[in-house]
Amino acid sequence: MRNKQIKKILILVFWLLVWEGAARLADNSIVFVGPLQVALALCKLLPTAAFWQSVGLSLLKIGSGFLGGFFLGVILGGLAYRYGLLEDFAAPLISLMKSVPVASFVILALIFMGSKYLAVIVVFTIVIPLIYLNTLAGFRAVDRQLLEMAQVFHIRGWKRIRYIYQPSLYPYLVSASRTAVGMSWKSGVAAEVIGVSAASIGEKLYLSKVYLETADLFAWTLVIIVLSFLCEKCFLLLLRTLGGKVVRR
Amino acid sequence: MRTVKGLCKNYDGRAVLDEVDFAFKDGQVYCLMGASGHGKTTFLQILSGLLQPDAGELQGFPSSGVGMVFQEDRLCEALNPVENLQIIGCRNSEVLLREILPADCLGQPVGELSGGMRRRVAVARAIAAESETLLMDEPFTGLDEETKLRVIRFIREHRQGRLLIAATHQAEDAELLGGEILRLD
Repeated sequence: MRNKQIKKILILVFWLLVWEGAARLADNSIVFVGPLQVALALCKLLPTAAFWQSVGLSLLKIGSGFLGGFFLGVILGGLAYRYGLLEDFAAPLISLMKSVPVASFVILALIFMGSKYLAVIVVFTIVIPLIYLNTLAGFRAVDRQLLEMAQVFHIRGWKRIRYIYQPSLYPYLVSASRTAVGMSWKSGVAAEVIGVSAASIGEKLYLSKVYLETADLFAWTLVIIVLSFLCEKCFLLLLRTLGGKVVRR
Repeated sequence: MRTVKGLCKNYDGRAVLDEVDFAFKDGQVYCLMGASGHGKTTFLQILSGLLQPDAGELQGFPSSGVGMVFQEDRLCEALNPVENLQIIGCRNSEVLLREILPADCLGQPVGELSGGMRRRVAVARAIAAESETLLMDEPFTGLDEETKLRVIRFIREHRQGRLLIAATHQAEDAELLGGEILRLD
C-alpha cells in the first residue's frame, strides 16, 4: 500500500518535472507556463474574495444544473420503465439531447435565455439523458427472480424499490454520475466562457485569455479539475450513504 | 379442501402439465414427486400465482400470498439473514433463524454465506411468511443429512397447521415430513 503511494507520488513528480522542463524550453510565459508559475498564480488568486466568489457562483450554477438533471433523469427513467409509452415519447428528445453539440446548444440557449442561467440550463440538459438512460438500464437489469420473490412475499412500494430495484440501479447510477459530474464541469464552464457570465470561473478564463495571463488560465483550469474531482467524490459518497447496506460492494 | 382440476401447461408446444387433478386438505402435508422435467416447479409456480395455466382451474387457493421456497434461494444478497426475513414483515426473525443457523452468521450478508446456510434462510423466510399455504421447491438442496433433519424438524414445528406442498426427489423426505406423496409422472 505504502509502496503504491510512493510510486504514484514519484510518477506525479516525474510529470511535473517534464512540464517544468517543457516550459523552460519554450521560454515564453505568454504561450506556455510551468507548474511553478501556475502555483504562484494560484497563490495570488486564493486569498482574493473574487476567487471564492467565482468558485462559489460556478459551483452553485453547475451544481444546481447537475442535481436538477440527476433527479429529473432518475424520475423520468423510473417512469419510462413503468410506462413504455413515455419511453417511446422521450426517445427522440433524448437522442436529440445526446447528439446536439454542446457548443451549438450553448449558443442557442444564449440567444433564447441570456447568460445569467446559461450554465444551469446547459448542465441540466447534458446530465438528463445520461442519467435517464442509465436509470432505465438499471431498472431493466433488475433480477427477474427477485421480482417474482417480491411478488410472492408481497414486498411492495418503498420496500420493493429499496431492496429489489436499488441494488440493481446503484452501479448504473454510480457509473453515470462519474461521467455526468465531469461533463457538467466541462460543459458548464464552456457555457460560462461563451456567455461571459459575470463573476464566474468561465469569465475568469475568458479574461485570462483576453489579457494573455497564461499562468492564471492554467491556475483556473487546475481549480476546475480539483472542483470536478471533489464534486465527484462528494456526490458518490452521498449516493453510497443513501444506498446504505442494500447494495453489495 | 383445495382442488386443482384439469391443469395444463405447455412450453414451446411441449406439455409439461397435462390434465393434472389434485385435491389438498387444509393443514396437511403433501410431497410432490416426479422425475426432473415432469413439471414440479411449474406446478408450484402456478399454485403461487407466478404462472398462469393454459387450461384448468384452481379452487380454494387464497390470493393473499404464500410462503415459498424457490428452486433458487432468491435472497437479497447484501442483507443479512435477519433482514431478509424482516423485509417480508417478520418480527421474530432472529429467534426463528437461531434455530437453524449459527448465531455468528446472522449478521453476515447472505451473499457471503455457504449454499447450505442460504438454503436455510430461504426455508425460514417461507416459514415466516404470513400465509395459509407453504410451497417448497426442493427445500433440502445443498443440505447435509444432519442439517436436513434439523430443517425438517424446524418446518414441522413452525408449520402451524398450514397446508404444505413440497417438491422433492426422495421418498424419504416425504416420510420425514410426514406427508402424503403425490406423483407427477
